[in-house]
Amino acid sequence: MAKVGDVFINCPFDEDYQRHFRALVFCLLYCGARPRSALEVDDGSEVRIGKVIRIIGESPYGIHDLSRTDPDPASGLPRFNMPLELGLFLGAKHFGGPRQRVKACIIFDRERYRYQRFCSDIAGQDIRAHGDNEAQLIRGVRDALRTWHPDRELPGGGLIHRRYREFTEHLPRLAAEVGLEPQELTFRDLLTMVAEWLRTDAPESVSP
Amino acid sequence: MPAKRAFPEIPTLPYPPTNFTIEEARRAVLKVREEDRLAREAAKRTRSGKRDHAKGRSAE
Repeated sequence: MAKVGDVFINCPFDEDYQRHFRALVFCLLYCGARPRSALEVDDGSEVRIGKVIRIIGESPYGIHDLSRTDPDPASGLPRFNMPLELGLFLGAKHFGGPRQRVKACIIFDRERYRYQRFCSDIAGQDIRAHGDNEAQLIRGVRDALRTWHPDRELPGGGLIHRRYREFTEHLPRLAAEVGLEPQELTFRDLLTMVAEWLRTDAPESVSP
Repeated sequence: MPAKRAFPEIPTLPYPPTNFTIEEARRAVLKVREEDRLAREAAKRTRSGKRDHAKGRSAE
């Protein structure tokens, strides 16, 4: 069975988005994909944009969530990191070599056509609305993975969401066992905890 | 009822965790799962105990 491969997650890193971020990480690992993020290496010698470009180059797939492209309450200016990183991803696909040209991605926003008011050039891409809801986010990611890998059997979105909720209910205890609060887990900590949780999970039926 | 299919393989992670070892994470997961299992069993025993007690009373 073909490996799903690396998936670059382009999303906000603030506390409000944490539950969505955990849902993305959980869903990707559950489906056998490897989540990649700018948070994975804390190397002060590598500039952020360089790190993002490197990870995009290494990832055949991307998840771009534009739902937090809002004006900052303090400055009144929009947060534009996510559209910028989406642009880098699309640029790599357009201008890159054969390996880059097969890139695929999924773009999320809160509402389906909101992006047209701030980034209309991406019209024509498949933009999905997640309505700030983890179940919809998980379903969208799962369905995209299935489209990218039609040969692969994947668990259904409902099952993944149930398992994700079970995991988040246990997360405070899991974090406490390693002497941390859930919000203190780094991206790499979260990946390991989810992976170990899933490795000991009882297999269930998965749908094609 | 759908047929049982292969469980997706969890990929090898690109980096180790930051604040603990993989072994510590594994131990944490196993401990929490074991505590859950014991709690479920205890709850089951309590339920069946209550049922037996109720049956005993109705027989009296």
